Amino acid sequence: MLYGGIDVGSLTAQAVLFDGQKIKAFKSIRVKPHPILSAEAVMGLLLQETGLRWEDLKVCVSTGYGREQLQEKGLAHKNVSEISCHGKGAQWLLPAVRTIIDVGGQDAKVIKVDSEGELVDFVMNDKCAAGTGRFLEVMAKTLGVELEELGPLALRGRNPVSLTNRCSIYCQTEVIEYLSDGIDRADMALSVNKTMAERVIALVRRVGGVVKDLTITGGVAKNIAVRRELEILAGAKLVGYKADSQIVGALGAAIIASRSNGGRP
Amino acid sequence: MISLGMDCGSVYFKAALLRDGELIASRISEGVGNRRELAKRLIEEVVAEGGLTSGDVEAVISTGRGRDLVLKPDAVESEVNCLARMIYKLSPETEAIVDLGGESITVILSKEGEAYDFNRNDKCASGSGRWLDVLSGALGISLDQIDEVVGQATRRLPLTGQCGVFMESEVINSVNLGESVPDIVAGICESIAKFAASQANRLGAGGKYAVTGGVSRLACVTRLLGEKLQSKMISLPIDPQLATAYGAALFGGKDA
Repeated sequence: MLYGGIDVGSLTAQAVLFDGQKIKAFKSIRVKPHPILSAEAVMGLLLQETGLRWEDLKVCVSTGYGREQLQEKGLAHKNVSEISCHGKGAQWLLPAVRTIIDVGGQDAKVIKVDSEGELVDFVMNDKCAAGTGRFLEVMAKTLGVELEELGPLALRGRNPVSLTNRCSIYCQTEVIEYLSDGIDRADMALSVNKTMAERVIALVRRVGGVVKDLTITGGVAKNIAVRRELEILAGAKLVGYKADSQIVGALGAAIIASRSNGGRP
Repeated sequence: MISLGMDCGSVYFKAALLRDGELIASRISEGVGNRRELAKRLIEEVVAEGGLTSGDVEAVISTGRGRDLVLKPDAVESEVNCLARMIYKLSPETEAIVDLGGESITVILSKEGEAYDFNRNDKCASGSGRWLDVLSGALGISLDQIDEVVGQATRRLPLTGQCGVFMESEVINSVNLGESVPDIVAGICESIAKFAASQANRLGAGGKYAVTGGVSRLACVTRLLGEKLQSKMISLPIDPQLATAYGAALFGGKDA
């Protein structure tokens, strides 16, 4: 029995194939101009690569941007909010998880779940780039490094400086000034990653702080320096799991698909 | 009385040289590179442009985000105070100033040269020169092309965002969806006017007002702001981008 989950984010789209017990395959791509195009592309490619067809999916659940349209178009049988999908996906990977920090390309969320992965509380920032993946993209560009290099570079820093943590554009001005004053680039990268972690922690505080176990999902989870700084500020370890951090939403969607009664007979 | 006001802004550095309260020379330069050296050089250049030497300058007053970049100024003043002094000198009955600056929008209420209330959007760059730069840059339009481009617009595209980083995507998306660039740029100018007007209304700015700052050089922005504020806009006899530097220099005058 094969179940599918499709999660269209702001910068990337993910597809997961789940057989009820384990993840069979997954894929992540940059989004297309429309969620329907993104969904067709990501699941289409994944099915092609695994030698399967859309008809082989007993149930497919959509989440993220345009999830209702995906269902209307027949790409999914059901659509579920990304918060629920994230909660379910994280809880399946880590049964003891209670606080999930999800930092994506253009938003950041903190989701609190119970022992069943059901939603207890959540908060989201999707209005301000500070504390989202875009902040790190802007900073990496300002520092003249690839996004993937930002974390490792920061780990070499020893003397961080404080930066305004309210606006990415203001922060960019400060970084340019520090760089033209000759600051060490590793120190600058460290400062930037600390600022990022501070914004994320501020969001965690809005839902009453950390309840362990704590974990992080989304693309930004791949940044080793942000993870380290978050653990320091949260006073708790970010528990790891065996899956790509960007697929947790799509995984949750596929898990919900496997537990639903709908779909193909 | 020769005085010099140096406004080291977040995007541009502005120098204003005054003789007895009259502007006799000015310099505007992008604040890049070694900024301390730039401040020093601009002071030298504006003095030379006024046909004077540094010994003739009786007072140097610095202001702006980079006010500490000026070596040993005679006084340091906040931009708000500088603008309050400026408006008292150039248009005493005008009590409200909307400053559209490089990094933030500031609305000031003042009376007789003293600011008694103000609000500055310093948590978010929305509506600022840098924000505008990011968005127009995404469309491949330079700031001095904006008025001309807006002239070709058939409508103002409503834009929903506020964050410049996110709106950059919104703007590029609009182009991909077939919206015309002039309509998008008109929408961007409309957003600036909207943010500034709402800030002015929150402060209770009612009567006549002046608009200052580099972004106010855009006729489309000041026109749209005028539509939203519906009170009389006073035009100033000096370049609005120099208004703060000019006000700073006034602190070195007889009426200091």
